[in-house]
Amino acid sequence: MENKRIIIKWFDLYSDDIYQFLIYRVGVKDAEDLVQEVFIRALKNIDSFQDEGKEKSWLYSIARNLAVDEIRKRSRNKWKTLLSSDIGQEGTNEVTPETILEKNEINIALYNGIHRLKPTYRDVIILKGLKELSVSETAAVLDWKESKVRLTYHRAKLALKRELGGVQDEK
Amino acid sequence: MRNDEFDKFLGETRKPKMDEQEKNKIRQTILHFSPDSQQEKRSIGTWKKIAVSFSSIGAVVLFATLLLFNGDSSTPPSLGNSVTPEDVSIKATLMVNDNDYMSHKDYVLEVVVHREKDGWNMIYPFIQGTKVMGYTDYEADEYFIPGSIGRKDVDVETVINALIEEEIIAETDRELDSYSDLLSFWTPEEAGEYKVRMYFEDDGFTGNDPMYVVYIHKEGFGREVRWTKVVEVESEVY
Repeated sequence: MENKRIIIKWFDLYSDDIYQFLIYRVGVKDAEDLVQEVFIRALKNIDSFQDEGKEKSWLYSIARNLAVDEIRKRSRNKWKTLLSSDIGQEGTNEVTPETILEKNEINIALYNGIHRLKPTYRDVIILKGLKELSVSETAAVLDWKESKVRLTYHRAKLALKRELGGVQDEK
Repeated sequence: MRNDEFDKFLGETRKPKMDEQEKNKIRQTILHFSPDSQQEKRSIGTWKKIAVSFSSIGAVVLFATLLLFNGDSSTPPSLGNSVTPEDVSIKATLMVNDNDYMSHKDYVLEVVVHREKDGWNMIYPFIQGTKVMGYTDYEADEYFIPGSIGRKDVDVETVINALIEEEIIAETDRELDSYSDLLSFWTPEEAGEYKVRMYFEDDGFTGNDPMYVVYIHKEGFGREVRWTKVVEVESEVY
């Protein structure tokens, strides 16, 4: 019960952060389900967690691994929705990028632009750019060297600017 | 846009938050999570993987392997642990509401779900002449409190298809707008027996129309619908 209490506390603190990461990483359709899976997986493995004070990075790592698994699973299961095709899906009660981003054109363009990036660029843009993690925190989540985070983030931003075309100039 | 401006733009991007109802549901799932049932699932998952790898070697080898594992029986063992409709029994009873905490509601539907195996589920009551399904946190200990209720169009379509298949409604009654009051509740994933109470307001209820609950079983990361079970509601109203 003690472990569950800790996980619930972490859930209250970080569920929105993990949700936001997953929305941009795998899309809105599966984000909520994966958030639950992140915390269940954390509960199952909490006894092996030793980096006190770094639970947020640990949860991001779990979320990222689950996101990678999810993308692989989608590739295998061709009948499942592809990453970008959940945009504009039918079903008025289901969440879509348009509903959660409050129909803000720039935010939707950014969401679509991020989803067109390759996975490593997407990871670093979400964690360092959107979630504003430090270089060292991003490195810890992605299990990269800090130099790789800086370089990849720089390249990812250039790629994202290209994807956004003129949209960012409207800001 | 300069690099620092672009960083600022990214940082200021809208950060959507999770729906509070969904959060409550996840909190409940964490609280009711049982590592033992997950352990069982993992071991079954491992067994499945082994079976699949055998299949790549050849169906004959697989069959022989299955026979070997099954001793002297000529029937291959089941490789799956999916819940089937037979694993789920449901009893639903509609009564006049006497709960003081829900005095604005006219009827209470008591549903008892007994499930032999773990499984995700959504349960949609279909009771004509009622509206605005709700629940209360103030129930006796024997009742499970779902923490949230809701609906998805894809589920509602599944419910309608199930009702058509059972010839409860006609194909011509398919229009989704006619089912705008349909809401669902859920019971925990873990196997066991759960009692849930849902409350309804009167909306021209006559007691003459048949009433049902539609149990939707879901599986997988995306919780895809696998099957439905339609059960008639017993009435103690009239």
